[in-house]
Amino acid sequence: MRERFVAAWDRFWHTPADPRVAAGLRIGVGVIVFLAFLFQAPYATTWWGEDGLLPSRVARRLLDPDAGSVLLLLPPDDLWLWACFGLAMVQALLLAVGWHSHVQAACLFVWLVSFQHRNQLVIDGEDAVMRLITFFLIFAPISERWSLDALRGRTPRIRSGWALRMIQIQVTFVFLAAGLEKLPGSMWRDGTALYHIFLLDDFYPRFALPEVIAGNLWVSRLMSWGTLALEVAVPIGVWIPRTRALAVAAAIFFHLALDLLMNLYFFEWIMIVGWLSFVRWDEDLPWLGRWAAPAASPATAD
Amino acid sequence: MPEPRRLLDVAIVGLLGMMLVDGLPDYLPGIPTASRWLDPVVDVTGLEQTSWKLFAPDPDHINTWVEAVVTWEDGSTSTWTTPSWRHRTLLQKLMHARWHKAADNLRLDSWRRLRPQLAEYAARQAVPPTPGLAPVHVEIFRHWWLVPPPGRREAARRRFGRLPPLREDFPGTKSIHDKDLRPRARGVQPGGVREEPAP
Repeated sequence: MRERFVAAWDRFWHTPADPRVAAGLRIGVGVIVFLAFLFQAPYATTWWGEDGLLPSRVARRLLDPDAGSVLLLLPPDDLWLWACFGLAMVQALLLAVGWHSHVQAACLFVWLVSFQHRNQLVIDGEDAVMRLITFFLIFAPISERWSLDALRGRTPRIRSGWALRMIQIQVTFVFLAAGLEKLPGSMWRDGTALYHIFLLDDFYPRFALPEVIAGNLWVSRLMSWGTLALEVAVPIGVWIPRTRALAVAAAIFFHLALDLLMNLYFFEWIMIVGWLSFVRWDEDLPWLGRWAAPAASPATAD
Repeated sequence: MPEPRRLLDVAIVGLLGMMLVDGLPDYLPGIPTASRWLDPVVDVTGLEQTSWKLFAPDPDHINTWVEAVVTWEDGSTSTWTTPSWRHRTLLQKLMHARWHKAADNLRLDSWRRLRPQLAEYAARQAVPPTPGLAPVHVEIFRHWWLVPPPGRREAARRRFGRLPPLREDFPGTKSIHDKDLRPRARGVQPGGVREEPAP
């Protein structure tokens, strides 16, 4: 019995990961984190600067002392802020192109932790997803394909697929936890949640929704209950081999629809990148799988 | 001496435990206590989850914005506001994205300790009517409109002409912070009202 458990455990956690999947995540995370920093640049001093909403002397007093940040160790000067900000952007790009990929992933994780801990007033779900996926990328085979490291022939051999599994579990967990958090909500149960969300001006759609959608209670019920069903069903379905592809497709469709309908910054995009960790190239994307040389024993949901 | 793979297994179990304890809903038994214990560990390692209450347990059904009225040394006033969410280009939408969270938090009393800082920031951002004037006073207001229940939607639409209404039409207003930045010139009141000299 013990031997069977150990064998199943090892098969689940330590089967080598498909390096194409890991490389896709590396590129996706690098690009998204770069863009997230880029679009924050006009307000960087507002969020992290000494003349902003939370100068370091106030941050030290107000924020959780356990939540460390490189930014709080440096002199309180915006020059240092811009140096760190610029370095983080450069390292995100270097991660995307795969130059010393593992070093870039580790440094980018430190930057993400530092900027997020430095000002918790403005941190949201997407920041946590970016930070956590970046952490696991440090230990995944991210440099073996589509990277400058691979061109230079300098890629470490990573035999265990555990880090990619953790990314899969993390993305699934976000979906499931979001569903569980909604279960006690009366508006989700009576189906009026989406009706209320459609009338929030900060999340207001990029375009005015027609009255037939925004003002129709049955549309709201359908979408509210559909959201609940999806947030519970996808995290289960994605681990069942026969429903895996359908669950991933449903999750990606859901995120694209939300991105179209609501103002949610990069949350949907970093989640889509996370869901791509479930893709089996040779089965789901055979035409792409043929173009990119196949990998042996990819670790996915089975 | 355990083999390296088994040490890795211990790390995996630890990471899974941190994820579950820190990220599961607080209404589940034992989670709040365990998560309090674990909090320093996840903070120090940078592996904290966040609240996954995405519009949960119920969506906030309130629209708000924050306004700061800055009084200058000559008694004139200017206003600074959190960005408006409407009529933005895609570029503005991306650049202002963090204001969503900031504005949402700044209105909440849980972040009230930051309001003196917000007042100073608003005073730096506001443009004085005459260049060179120093700010002497800032008052911060919270404006809000509660989303009506479905049965009262039509009445709200008739009242405001559109839903959600323009933020200038939000009916709720409350002063949430009042701060003197430096001694005011004689006779200048908050909001720029000049005191009439006593006869």
